[in-house]
Amino acid sequence: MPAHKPPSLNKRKDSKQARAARVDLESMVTPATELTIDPPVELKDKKIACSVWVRVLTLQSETQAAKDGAPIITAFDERSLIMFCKMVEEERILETKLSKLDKAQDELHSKVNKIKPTKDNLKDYLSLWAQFNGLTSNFKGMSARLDAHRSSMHEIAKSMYLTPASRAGVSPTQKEPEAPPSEMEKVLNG
Amino acid sequence: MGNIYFNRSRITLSITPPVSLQGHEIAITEWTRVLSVPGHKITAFDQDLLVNYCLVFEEEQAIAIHIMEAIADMPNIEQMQKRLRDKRKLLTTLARSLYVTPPQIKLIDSALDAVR
Repeated sequence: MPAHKPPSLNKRKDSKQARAARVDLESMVTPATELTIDPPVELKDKKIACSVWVRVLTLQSETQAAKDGAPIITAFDERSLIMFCKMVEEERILETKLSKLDKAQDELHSKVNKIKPTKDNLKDYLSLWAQFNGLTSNFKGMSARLDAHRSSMHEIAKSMYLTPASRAGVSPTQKEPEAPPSEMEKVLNG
Repeated sequence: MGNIYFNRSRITLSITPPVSLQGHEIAITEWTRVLSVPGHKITAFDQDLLVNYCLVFEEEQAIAIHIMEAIADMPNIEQMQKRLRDKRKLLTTLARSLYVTPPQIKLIDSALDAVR
């Protein structure tokens, strides 16, 4: 059974009573302290992380749920939001490093390809290939690290309802093509 | 009342790519394509996720091209292919979360098959 969503995200057609009871119950565990748009000290000197913090909380303050006093991201979730903001900044740094490695890899590859191995330059030629292999390994390692980082980011984003699918609840399923009408249906529908 | 408020943020994502995608041509094209699809469900809340999706998309294409170009002389081609598979796995996960599907993957797959 899927986890319960906050009432503001629940699209089920519940009765008014059930909905009110749910809102009452959830308001009991919503802290009175609100997250402020000013980034916490922990994000000091982290420009990108601060901008993500401000953007997410500004957007949240515009939602009707927040205006009704039931924001999705509450003070309880401060740690998750800080972590998410830091991860966005780290992702940008890792991505820049990967781009540099990719460029270096391309440059070295074209350099090695231009050399024709002879008796005299064989040692240098093999050394360049060794360098290229090392660079490729670094590239793969960095690429895997970046993907793992993005995967964790995605998990945190889902837990804070910062993805369309987590807000909507379930993935849309494709409508199956309609079966052709049977002989009986054809007769009945004229 | 109040059940879909969170989805109705007034700020929608601009089709103009953010600064974080500067210099990433393929990622920018994908950003524009995804946000041009009528009826998409992506809001400003999902900006970072969409940036990631577009960057992973660009990287996936780059790795596929690397493999295609260097298929004969790359010594550790199998490891690179594993990297490509993992990249695509992440791409699909992100695409599912965003309600978009990567249209290019099948095309690149068939191109790779042709090279092999």
